[in-house]
Amino acid sequence: MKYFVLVVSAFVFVSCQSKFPEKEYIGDQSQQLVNQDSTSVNFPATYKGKILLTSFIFTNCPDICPLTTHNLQRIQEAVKKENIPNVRFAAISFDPDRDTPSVLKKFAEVRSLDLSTYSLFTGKKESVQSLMRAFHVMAISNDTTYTDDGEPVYFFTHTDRITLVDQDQNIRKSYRGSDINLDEIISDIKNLGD
Amino acid sequence: MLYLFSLLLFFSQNMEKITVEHQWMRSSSQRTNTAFFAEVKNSSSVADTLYKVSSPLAKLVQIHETYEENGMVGMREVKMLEIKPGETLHLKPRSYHVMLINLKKDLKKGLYGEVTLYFKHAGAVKVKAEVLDIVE
Repeated sequence: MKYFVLVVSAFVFVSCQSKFPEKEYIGDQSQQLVNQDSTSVNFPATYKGKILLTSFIFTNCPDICPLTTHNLQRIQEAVKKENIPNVRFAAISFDPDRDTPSVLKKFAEVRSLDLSTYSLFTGKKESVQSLMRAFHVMAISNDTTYTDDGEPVYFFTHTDRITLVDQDQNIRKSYRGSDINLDEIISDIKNLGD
Repeated sequence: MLYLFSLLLFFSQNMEKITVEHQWMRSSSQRTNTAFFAEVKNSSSVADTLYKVSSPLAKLVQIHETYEENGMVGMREVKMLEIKPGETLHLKPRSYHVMLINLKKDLKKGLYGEVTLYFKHAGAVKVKAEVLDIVE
């Protein structure tokens, strides 16, 4: 009997480990950000009690970030379809110099983002960088070139990630942002909701 | 006469054998950037090189590639891309693409815009591409 209990405990432990390999508290690392409507938000504290999927993007990114943005949209649609409550979506710009609230608003409009549960954020450089450290995300700007009329053009080499945060503000899992397994993420969200 | 005919036949076989199919652009807003994707097939018997791209939609247009290094993703300009005879260059997400930098207007789903691809042998190939939201 003793061995049986041990085996079952080990099995449960291993199962939980494989579902959620991470558990890192970030609730104490909140920063002031502003969303696409210029509303100030304490991030991620404002999402306490909710399951949160977060990505870091820049709106001038033509390939990877639109894929990540669209993938969050796909997760949002699946969450709605399955009536899973208390799930929120956030994309934080690591290019706050260019990504002002109005730029984020336009970015959302062009892509028909449903902003009822999905928000885009920008903020002071230090605030964004602090959150990037908390989420283990990096972004390095490349060399600047210029258009014929002198406008600067630069891009970022960056982490390609969507991060799952639980209701108690712990990072629980990270996924490749531009190429997701939707079923896996929906299953993880349901597991956190149980 | 036969020589001239052979020459004409040779050139007719190798000219205008670049075809661009399944072209599309990702939706994006004015003053930001987007990418143009397509399948570019070289049906001629000689290799051809894509060396320049242009479009009235953007202030700057370049050939780019998305790359991944040490778990991070980035983009860089590529000066030219060779397409061997019979091969297809896939301009696609997470790979080679045409970068439309600093868009002059919003590109919303359903709109069309022109992009011109310049090849060493086939010359300029102008195509109309639809703006889409799709992921892949």
